Amino acid sequence: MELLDLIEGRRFMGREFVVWLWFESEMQETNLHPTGADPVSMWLEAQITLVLEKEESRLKGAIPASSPEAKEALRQGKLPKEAKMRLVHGEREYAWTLKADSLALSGLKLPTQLKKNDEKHEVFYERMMLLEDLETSLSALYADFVRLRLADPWDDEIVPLMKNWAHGEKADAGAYLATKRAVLGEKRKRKR
Amino acid sequence: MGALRGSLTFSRFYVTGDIPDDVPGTTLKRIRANAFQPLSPDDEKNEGAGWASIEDPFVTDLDHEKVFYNEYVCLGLRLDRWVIPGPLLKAHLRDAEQALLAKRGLERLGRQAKAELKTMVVRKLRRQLVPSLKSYDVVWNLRTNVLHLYSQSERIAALLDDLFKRTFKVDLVPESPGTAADRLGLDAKEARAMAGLEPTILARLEEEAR
Repeated sequence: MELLDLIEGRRFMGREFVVWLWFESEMQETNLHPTGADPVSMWLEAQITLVLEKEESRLKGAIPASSPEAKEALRQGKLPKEAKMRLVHGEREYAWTLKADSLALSGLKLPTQLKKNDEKHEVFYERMMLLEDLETSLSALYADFVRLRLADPWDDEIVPLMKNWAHGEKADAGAYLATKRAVLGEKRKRKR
Repeated sequence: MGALRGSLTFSRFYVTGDIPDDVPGTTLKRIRANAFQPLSPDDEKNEGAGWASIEDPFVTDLDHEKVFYNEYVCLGLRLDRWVIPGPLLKAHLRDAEQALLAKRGLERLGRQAKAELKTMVVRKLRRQLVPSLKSYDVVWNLRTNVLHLYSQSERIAALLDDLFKRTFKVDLVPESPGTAADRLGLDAKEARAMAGLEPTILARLEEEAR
């Protein structure tokens, strides 16, 4: 694909990634297991903006993604354009806003130990190490999303479950995880 | 809010192309050649950009220690602009116009004379002002070839693209949902699926709702 088409024509994948993270986080009670990376806890918090063309719903609160209004926005066909997120990896806790259309991170707070008065290069290396730690988790999650999104079961099995979830009906977490395992497990086998 | 302190807001790029094995050994000269040059009041251009130290934008005499931090290339993208407040320019222009009309005994000035007068007034005012200075952190990880620009402005990204390519003779691909997916090394079936991908709709169609 041409670079411009890859960039401009596939921006919607970022919004779908955020909604998948939201779904995944609720299905797995925030305990995510990205392929090839450490398990993490992750959830959407504080603020989410959902859009459909020019219509926008901006929701705030402790966990706005759990509010009926957020699911209502999904039912109207809106998808997240921007969401505040939190991820915990072992002792490390990160919070940031993800911009779905570019996958860019804003206002990222790192769990730094060193203070700005410490040796400046050490502070820099610590910050870069922590940033890379977060990016490893996010890249692994995005890779899992893409593998699922491009596999046949996305439309046939996963989207119906996500629709149930968005419409406040019971989404079969067991069935979802089995489908996910089948797709991602198959990929892992092929890689070997 | 950059690489060195505070919370982080950035955009990501993938460095691609013919990347030298020894970036520190081969690029310092080119980095120095593209270091920030102070603006002159007599320049035609209104702004200028170039590399500076990531720690201090006033330091533009770059050496190995100021740029290479282990596997990271760290630079400040410094952007200076002449900013003349509109009312100030207008007032000075009016005074200069009146002085010129009186001197030449004219009632009106032609278009070209007005343009020349404006250039002269702008240069005069620039001599009394200091350009506005901004610097954006740029960190290139040589191990992963991922680059962070600590700004999400498209204009700054375009400036970086130009300066980075000129300096390092390599390409920058902006991260986006599409480019990030493409970098995963999709197999033929996935690539076909990607090319024909349509957005997912979670709203139920009428027939589904029945």
